[in-house]
Amino acid sequence: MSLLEIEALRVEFPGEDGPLGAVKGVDLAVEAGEVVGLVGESGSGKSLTCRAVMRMIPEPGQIAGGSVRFDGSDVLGLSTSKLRDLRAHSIGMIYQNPFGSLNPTLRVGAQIAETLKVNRGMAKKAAQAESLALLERVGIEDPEHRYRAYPHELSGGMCQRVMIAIATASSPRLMLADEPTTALDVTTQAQILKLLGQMRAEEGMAMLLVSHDFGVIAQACDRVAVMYGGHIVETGPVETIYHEPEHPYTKALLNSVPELDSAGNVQRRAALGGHPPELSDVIPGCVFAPRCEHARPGCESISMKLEKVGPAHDSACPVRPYAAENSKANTERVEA
Amino acid sequence: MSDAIPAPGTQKARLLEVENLVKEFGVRRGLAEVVARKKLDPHRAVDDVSFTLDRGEILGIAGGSGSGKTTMARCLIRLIEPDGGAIEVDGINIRDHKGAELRELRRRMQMVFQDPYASLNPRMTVGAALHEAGKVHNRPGSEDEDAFVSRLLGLVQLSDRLASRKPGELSGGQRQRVSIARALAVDPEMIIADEAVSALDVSVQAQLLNLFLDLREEIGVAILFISHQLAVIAEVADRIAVMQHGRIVETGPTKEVFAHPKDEYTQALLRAHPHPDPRQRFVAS
Amino acid sequence: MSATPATPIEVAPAAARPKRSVLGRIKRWPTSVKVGVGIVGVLALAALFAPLIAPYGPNELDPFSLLSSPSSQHLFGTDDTGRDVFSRTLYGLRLDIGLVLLVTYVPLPFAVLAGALAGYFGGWVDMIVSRLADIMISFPFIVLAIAFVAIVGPGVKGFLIAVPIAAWALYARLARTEMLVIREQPFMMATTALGYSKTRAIVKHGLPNVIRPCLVYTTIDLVGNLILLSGLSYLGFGVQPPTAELGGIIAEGQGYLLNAWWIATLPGLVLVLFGVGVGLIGEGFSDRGLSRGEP
Repeated sequence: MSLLEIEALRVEFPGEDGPLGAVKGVDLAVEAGEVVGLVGESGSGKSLTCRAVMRMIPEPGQIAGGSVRFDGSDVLGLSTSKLRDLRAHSIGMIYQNPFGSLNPTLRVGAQIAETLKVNRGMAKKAAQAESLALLERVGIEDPEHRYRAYPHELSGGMCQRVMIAIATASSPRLMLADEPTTALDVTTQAQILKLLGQMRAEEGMAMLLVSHDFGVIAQACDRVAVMYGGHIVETGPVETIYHEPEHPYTKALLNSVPELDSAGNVQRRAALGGHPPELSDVIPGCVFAPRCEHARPGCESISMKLEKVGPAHDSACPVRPYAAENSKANTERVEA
Repeated sequence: MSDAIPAPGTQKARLLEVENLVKEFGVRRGLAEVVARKKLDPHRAVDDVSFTLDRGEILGIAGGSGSGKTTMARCLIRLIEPDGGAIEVDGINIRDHKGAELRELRRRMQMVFQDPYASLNPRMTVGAALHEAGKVHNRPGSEDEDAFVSRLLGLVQLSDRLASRKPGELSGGQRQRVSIARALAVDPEMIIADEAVSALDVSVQAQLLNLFLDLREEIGVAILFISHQLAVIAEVADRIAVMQHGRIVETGPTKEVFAHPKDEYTQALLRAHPHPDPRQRFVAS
Repeated sequence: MSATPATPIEVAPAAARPKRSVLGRIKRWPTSVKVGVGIVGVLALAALFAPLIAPYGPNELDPFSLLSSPSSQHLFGTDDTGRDVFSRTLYGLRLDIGLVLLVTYVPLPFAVLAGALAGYFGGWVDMIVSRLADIMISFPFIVLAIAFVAIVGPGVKGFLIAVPIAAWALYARLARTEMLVIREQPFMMATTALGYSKTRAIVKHGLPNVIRPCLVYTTIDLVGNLILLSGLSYLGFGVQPPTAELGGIIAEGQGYLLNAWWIATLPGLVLVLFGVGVGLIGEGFSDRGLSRGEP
């Protein structure tokens, strides 16, 4: 039994001519201690999928179907108090905007202590001591001094560390990270990713990491799920996804990612034409078909169901244009 | 490469020369500080910056937040007034001029901004915005609105059909293309792309980077490409200048700087870069 | 400049919202707006065609039907001098709507321009405009209106002068705030980079974006001015009898509330209905963010 099981999840927004599907039937599982990356472009539904786990879909969106099970128990049907319990103790969340997620009128130490008092029932003095310990654990220097700081007095990276401290205060078994480093400088980003990796190793914490940045996903994840137009189009171990992708979208997307190695050899990348679909676009069959160079007649009537294409590797593309070259590369690797 | 571009390094090739550019922002003093009569040094957002840009060259400006790269870019066309230094376009210092001469100098250095959603007037159609730019500067060909707009849309690889649309009906990538087209409408010799692709999806970003390369080849425009993402700069820039705290800490051909970075900050940036390849991790999993 | 055009990637731009016909756009309006437009439309047309629709003249006397209750002959009944209340209501509405439109929309462009200039230039322009606006806003408005009427004399003149003098400040402020926001947007910065004159930047690019929230506010203002005019007339300061005007009719009917309720109540209901209609339109548009220029 996986720690987190999402099945046939659907999230909808009200539209003029009926509801608009933002997440259109997503299946995803996260095992204990595993880091799963959810990658995609705008409109893919990755952020909403992540928020659905804690039922934190922003209005006027709502969860329209499917199930979310954490540790075997259903999340979508939980009572308010049980849900609060879940959010307090079992699942933590960190967000993209480090400053916006902290109360600007409270000192950061107080905000950490608040979590400890409310969620772990600690007394004031104990909460304070534990807060200091947490600040140190997330790598903030001079914690006694920083404890009394206001968020605007800290850098983005430090605020993000504080947010991580608050989110991990109750040692949650699952961390939801929605673009946690997008707003940070690259050097700070590297530090935060290292910190998350450390906490994961020390605490055995599982993580669902949502990002549009392929570098971040490659650095931090064990498994990857690629989303497009509200569907998951491919899942697999991180190495497989990056080096032997099966779905044309994954491959095209990876081809578009800029690389340092391009310096000096200015080769044009074969860029994918068009752009990701809007919420209101209705695309029959495969949502990627209009932009796909391997599209065949019949692609407009397939369902976006994930099919197994390898060990722990699923793809929603029945055409499988890269199957031959992938198995060749695989065999070569095994033989090497 | 286009015939319009003279050989690199020659005097004729030099398009832009920036020398000792300075921009200071006054630091606001709290009451306590005023009372104590503390003298605070103003904050130098751009601190003695010098660089050159040749015709048809693409120069990348890299740096994190607070590096001063956007402030510096705005100083070049005097959207923000610099406090010191010289900015010479073909030998003419833009700081010495005003009125019509300033307009003419600005025409030669156009800017494309980061936010595709706020870079175009939401009330104007694409065609009207493009035509207006040409008309205001009396560009040859601007008398025939349809042909003028059509040519510009073609340069940025957009269909003519978009001319009658308003920005609200376009995607982010399309809007950025229109912003570029608007910049091209006045026949600039150089485009300052200030984080021009940072707000776009990866697949759309790749299209726009190709477009910049195409434009450099087809019309010989030079590009000052500002970005906080090293990999993006690697995709397009011939040379790179790395900024930190308002200063340029390293400059050189992109390949060379990435292979053999001399400055500590450049080295730190390169070390922190998350390679999109799980086989090159810096985080122990 | 010889350009070899590359093959257009975007030949068929996907996902551009389909252009809708005018009728389609109207269908998408929220119900409250449609109801509001309906009400206002009917009343405005009735007012416009009052001379054609009204069964009697506004001051036509019917000495055989004094204070008669509503009937098929007199839809709203008659007053103490035998005048048909329905006809008077129509003519009164006509006068009211006309005056209120005049007083709300004529000063608008000047106020918006003043505010936009203040927002764009800042400095002493802003200082002058803002201080003047502050003074006007801090004045209690009714006092101002009555003061003007006292100076200028009874009749509509007082109203027509007092309202613009006070109201411009609100629009100027609104416009100024909008301009402050828009000025920082990249598309305004682009006008400088593109070498456009300041005039062009303000008039062609700034104003069309600044004016939207102001227009939304005019719907609230319209209703307010209507109430004000009726109120002033009711007090005896505005439109003078025997000219038909809604507030005046209500004032005249006040003394007969117990025995001839229709004289004051029915015109009053028409007034309220008009106000509700305009209010629905304004509220509906601003709720949908149309004040920000979205379709």
